Amino acid sequence: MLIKVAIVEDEARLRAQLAALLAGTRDFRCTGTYASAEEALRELPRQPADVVLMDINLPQMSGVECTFRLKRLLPRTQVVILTVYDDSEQIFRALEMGASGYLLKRTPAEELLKAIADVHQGGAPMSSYIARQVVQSFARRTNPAAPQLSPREEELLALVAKGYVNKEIADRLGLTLETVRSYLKIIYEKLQVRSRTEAAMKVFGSPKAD
Amino acid sequence: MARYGWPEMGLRVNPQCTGRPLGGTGRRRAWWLAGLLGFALRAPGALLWHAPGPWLAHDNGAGADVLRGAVKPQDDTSSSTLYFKFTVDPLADVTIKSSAPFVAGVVLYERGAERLGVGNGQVAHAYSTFNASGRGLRHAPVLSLSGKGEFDLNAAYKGSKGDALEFPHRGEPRTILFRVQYVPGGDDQVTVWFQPELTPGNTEVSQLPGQITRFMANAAFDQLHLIHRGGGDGWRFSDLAIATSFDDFVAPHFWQRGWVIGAGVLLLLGVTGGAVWLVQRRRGRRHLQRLERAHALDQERTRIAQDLHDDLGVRLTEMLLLAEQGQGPADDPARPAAALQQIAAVVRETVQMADGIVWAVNPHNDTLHHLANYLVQFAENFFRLTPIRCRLDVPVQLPPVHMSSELRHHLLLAVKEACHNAARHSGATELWLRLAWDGVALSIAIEDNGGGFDAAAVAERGNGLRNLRARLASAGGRVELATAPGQGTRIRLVVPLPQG
Repeated sequence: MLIKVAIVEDEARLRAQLAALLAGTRDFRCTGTYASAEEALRELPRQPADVVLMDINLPQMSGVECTFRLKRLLPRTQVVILTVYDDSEQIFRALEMGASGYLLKRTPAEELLKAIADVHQGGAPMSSYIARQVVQSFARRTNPAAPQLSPREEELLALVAKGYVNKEIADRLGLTLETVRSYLKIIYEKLQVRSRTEAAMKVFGSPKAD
Repeated sequence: MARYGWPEMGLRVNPQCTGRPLGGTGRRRAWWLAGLLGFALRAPGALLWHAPGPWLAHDNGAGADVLRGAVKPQDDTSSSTLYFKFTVDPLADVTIKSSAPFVAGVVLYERGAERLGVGNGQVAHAYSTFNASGRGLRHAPVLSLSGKGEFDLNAAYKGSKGDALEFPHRGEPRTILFRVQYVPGGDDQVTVWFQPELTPGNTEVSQLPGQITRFMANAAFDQLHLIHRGGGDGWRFSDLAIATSFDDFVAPHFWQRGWVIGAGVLLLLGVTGGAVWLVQRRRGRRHLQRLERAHALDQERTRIAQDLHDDLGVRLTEMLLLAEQGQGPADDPARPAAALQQIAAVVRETVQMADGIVWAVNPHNDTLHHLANYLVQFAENFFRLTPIRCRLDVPVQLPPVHMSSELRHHLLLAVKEACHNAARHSGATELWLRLAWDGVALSIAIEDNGGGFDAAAVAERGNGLRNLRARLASAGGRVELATAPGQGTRIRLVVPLPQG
């Protein structure tokens, strides 16, 4: 199955290298490269991709905002954040805005391709680090309208945060690998819904907001 | 104007302009002080002559000179302007019906002859002038009595009894001020102010017109006589004065008075001195603080420079060497590819180093919470490329206890070092990163289930552990090592970290 990948990256050299990397494979095809968020938002609806590799630090609109807008235009397109440094807050914001994962730019080529394929197959890659962030995010503000984590989901997240991989978690909790994956997907969705309702709360206000 | 003005300005300005930078302020300050003091000394009306009195003149004929040459005599060639002032307390009521007419007043005498008199004319029977030669710029309200040169003085002042003239009355002292503008070769122009307003802020032009009388007279003088001739008990004169300006008679504002100004100058100097002293002291203290901060900053910069050199410089050099090897004679076709692979590995390591340096320097990350998140992320990324499974025992929620950039840096590098050692030497399959904070100290442990080693022989294992100890010591902490062959290794980093 051919995976269509688009690249949003303002550095020309890196953009070309990523495109060349994809072109050298059989399973991936680069369907577009864009130097700015604005260009990507304009062109991507005409040239849809399965996965978009998104840089965070773009010249005008940031990759975080671009992710949010892109997910509204093309909900089925998966966004993977590409970043030089582990700028934790930016990455997490992007995940809240609908990104499906993140990769450091120094990630080895095979791993990068594997991660893209994983995301495309509906994987919700959750590292210990992200799991911690998710837990911290849900603990931060309690908006009654926002979805909460179920005890099972919390249990699962705690294991991810401790460094256990999906297979180990499935064994420990007596679940199938597929169930663990779907749990993680649900957690991501809740995170996004949560951040959306929080954003809405910020805009419209809420008498109960603290 | 210009002829005198410029050189004078030049004299005052030059010393400031040519003064050396340091001397300039001092000299300017001296000028300023001199100006203030000069003003202070000059301020209370520089009278040419002042005699408080009192003198009683009672039927004294031509009277006697009271001036005694204190003021330069004025004759028919004079062109100057002088102001005369006196206060009179009549000791007899005089009305036009009085049976005891008199003439009294301040009389200018020249060469033994009576010239202008101001007081009460024999015929006028009111405050008036005598020996005047003719009408001046303004007519007196009451007819002049010809031959005597007597004009009633306009006396329509606030509190006057009549509309225009006033009769002298016992117990009602009056002040009269007159100006003489000497005209060479002719009669002089005289202006009389009856009961002038001399309170602060008043001037020659602020006086009411109803109190002003103008006329011509010969006002030359070399003597000043106080006379009284005729009935009554005489006139008592006091507060005689001559000046060159009306303003010299006006009471200065209190702040214009000499002693006030003197005190003010002293106070100002005191306050300024005190303020300067305080500011200097505070500045000194602040300077010290700034130096301390600058020193801390310098240390921090030195550290960053060291890191950049050690961590990045060394790896970049390594990459350069690898690249040059790869370019060598192509006797082994696999060599460039191998070199590139090695370069890629070093680059990955270098980027990670740079990441750590940037993270530690960023003040945005200066809490325990940030450190925990970063260590988790580091360990996870680091061990993903190794056969070792990384387990994390790090509280998800940690309070935002402040941690300096330096402390975070040391801990990060110490953890990295420990992880590197584990990956290189332990042969472990699993490693635990544990972090705990009890409100007093922070403890970070790196435990592996590998081969362990003989702690006694650790010195031979290289610099790793020694570096670790030195690093923790400089952060005020310590390293605890627990290991034995076949028992795995536990390295525990402990640093004091009090709450708040």
